[in-house]
Amino acid sequence: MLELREVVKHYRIGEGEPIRAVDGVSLTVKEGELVALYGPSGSGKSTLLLLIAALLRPDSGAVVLDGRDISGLSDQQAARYRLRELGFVRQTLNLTPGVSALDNAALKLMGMDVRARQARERVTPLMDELGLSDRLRHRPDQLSMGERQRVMIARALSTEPKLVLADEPTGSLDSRRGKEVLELLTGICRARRLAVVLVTHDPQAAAYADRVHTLRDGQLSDYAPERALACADAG
Amino acid sequence: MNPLLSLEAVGKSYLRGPHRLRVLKDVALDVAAGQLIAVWGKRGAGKTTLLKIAARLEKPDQGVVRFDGVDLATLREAEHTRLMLEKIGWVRRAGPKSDLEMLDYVALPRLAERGRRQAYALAREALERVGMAECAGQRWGSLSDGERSLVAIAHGIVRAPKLLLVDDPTANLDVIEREQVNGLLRSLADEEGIAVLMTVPDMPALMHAHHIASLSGGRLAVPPPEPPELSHEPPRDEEPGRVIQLRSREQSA
Repeated sequence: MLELREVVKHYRIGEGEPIRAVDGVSLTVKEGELVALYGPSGSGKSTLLLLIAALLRPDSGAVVLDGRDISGLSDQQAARYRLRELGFVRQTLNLTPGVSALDNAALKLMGMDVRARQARERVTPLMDELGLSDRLRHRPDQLSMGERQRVMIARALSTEPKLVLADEPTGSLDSRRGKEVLELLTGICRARRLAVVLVTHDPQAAAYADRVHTLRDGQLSDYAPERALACADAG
Repeated sequence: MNPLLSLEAVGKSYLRGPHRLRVLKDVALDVAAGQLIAVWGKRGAGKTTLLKIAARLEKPDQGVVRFDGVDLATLREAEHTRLMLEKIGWVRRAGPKSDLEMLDYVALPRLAERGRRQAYALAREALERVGMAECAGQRWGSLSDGERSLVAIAHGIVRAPKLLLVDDPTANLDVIEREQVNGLLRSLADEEGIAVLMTVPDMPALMHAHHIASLSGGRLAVPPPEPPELSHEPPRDEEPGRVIQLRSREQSA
């Protein structure tokens, strides 16, 4: 379903040497498959997700989804792709202060011009699945970090995407809440046969993935638990 | 991460008739390089005032605004002008005052300093960066609202600023245009390390932001860290906000 072919993205800061954020990465993810990418901070994980989300363009290589090269889309086509086909669970919990958890979760649908009432109705079953049925009217400041992350997951999945990108979904959580969030995220995505790319430096995420790769200095290699632990230490 | 822009206890009020209207009360906000921070609030909530104060285009009644650690109030006029020319980009969809082609308009901020050839090369790069290279020869009046937003961003980034202040970039845009503009602002932060502070009255436009603050009654609310004890009872102190949907151009068409 998703195929990365020799994707390269280098940055240059000032006059310095280019940073090889993503350096010839090839990867395939099938429908219903969850692939985890380990790596320390600065290993290129988030850049890779931004490339798959068509928020960045690769210097070379291709990002192919269902046979279509995402990296070749116009800006407008890329915007349409992000809205309709992609669910993006980001590292930062950007909930709107003062607004209910339900409305925060329904925001992406409302942004697609679904009427507010319908958007709330569509997202409510997801909130139930994510264990938030008694938190619908709570504001972000009345939610735990784990609950805030679950609202972000509900928002990402609300548009029924084919592909879910999760950037450090447990990054701001303690180990117990991280486990809860991973179980809920992976359970819902498996039930819907969604393709998931999860980037993390949390070794416990390995237990939830079908395949795990390590990303270091922009290059992908097969997963080795001891290397993942080294990455977690470094990250 | 040290903030590039920092507002500390900023207050501002205006006289409106016989009444003093307090637009900003004790506002604190940090924006770091590579961050996209969105300030959401209704029209008239003080969002544009906040941006103007962040650039010292207006002076606060109270509080301190620092850019790169320097208190903006201590800058001389010439230093402030240089700061605005070199480090702060201001994005507004007002467009050019004369009938310029878009390449001329985007090149303007760099003409005096870099000379014609280099300014035009930079303007072409900026238009390319926002996906509007093909509009270089067009005039403002012939552009759609979405195209104007993108050209205004090109005009803001042509100086390669460290901080980009963006006032309501998605007003009147349809769903796809809004996603395009917000995706671009996010990638300017992620890819080029620009600190972006934008204001929006429309909540779905917030989704690409790293952090969201809401401005209401002069107070800027930022999501606090997790409270120590959380009640599982529904909140009773006050009603949570509800999204009031604005009809976009596409929907009302």
